[in-house]
Amino acid sequence: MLTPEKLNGYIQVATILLGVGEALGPKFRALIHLFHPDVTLTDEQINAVERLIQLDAERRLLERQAMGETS
Amino acid sequence: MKKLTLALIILTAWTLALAGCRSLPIKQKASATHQTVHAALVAVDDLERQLCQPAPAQPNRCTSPAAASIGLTDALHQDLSRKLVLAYRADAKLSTTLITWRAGDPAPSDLNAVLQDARDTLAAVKPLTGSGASLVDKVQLWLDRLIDLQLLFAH
Repeated sequence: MLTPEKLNGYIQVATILLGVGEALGPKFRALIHLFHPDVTLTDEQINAVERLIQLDAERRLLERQAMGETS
Repeated sequence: MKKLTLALIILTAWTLALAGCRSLPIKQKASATHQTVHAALVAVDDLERQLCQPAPAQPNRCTSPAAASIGLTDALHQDLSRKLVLAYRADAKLSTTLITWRAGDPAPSDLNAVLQDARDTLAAVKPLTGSGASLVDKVQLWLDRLIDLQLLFAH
């Protein structure tokens, strides 16, 4: 029976194979685009990504504050 | 044997294609688009630093000899930095909003402010010449990604 875990495994193998294909030439890129999975994330995973973005934005904000001071 | 292999390949391709077409939750789409916005903003930041090469002891001054020749003066570097401060502040707030955001909630209120900031930044970098033109392209890309995010919430 095709379980979500098995499907995910197939997708990963296919992605690797198609990744090799991409290195071989541009004709494979359309295939990758077609087959590359959009994995659904949980709210917690999305929030974790957003927190990482937030940390990066806050770090860069501090650096730019120093650069924005008038001479 | 060949027929079985062919059937397996077709079945795998069909299954993978179905998996790729699966529609994602709106919150994930919004977060994914926000990631492209943040990446585009970081690209603007990095390129401006590369063109300016801010002095470590005085980061509000450019050390690159080429900076002034393309129009990237210390004053413009400082002005762009202040605009990027606003952009990063709005970007961080967007993350805060998205963390608590649920499908059906209104679009984040900071989006219009950061769009205006991006337009102002574009106007500020437009006079740059030579290699500075690539900074114009990066800012345009950032603005385009922001518009993508705005459109996503409009639907």
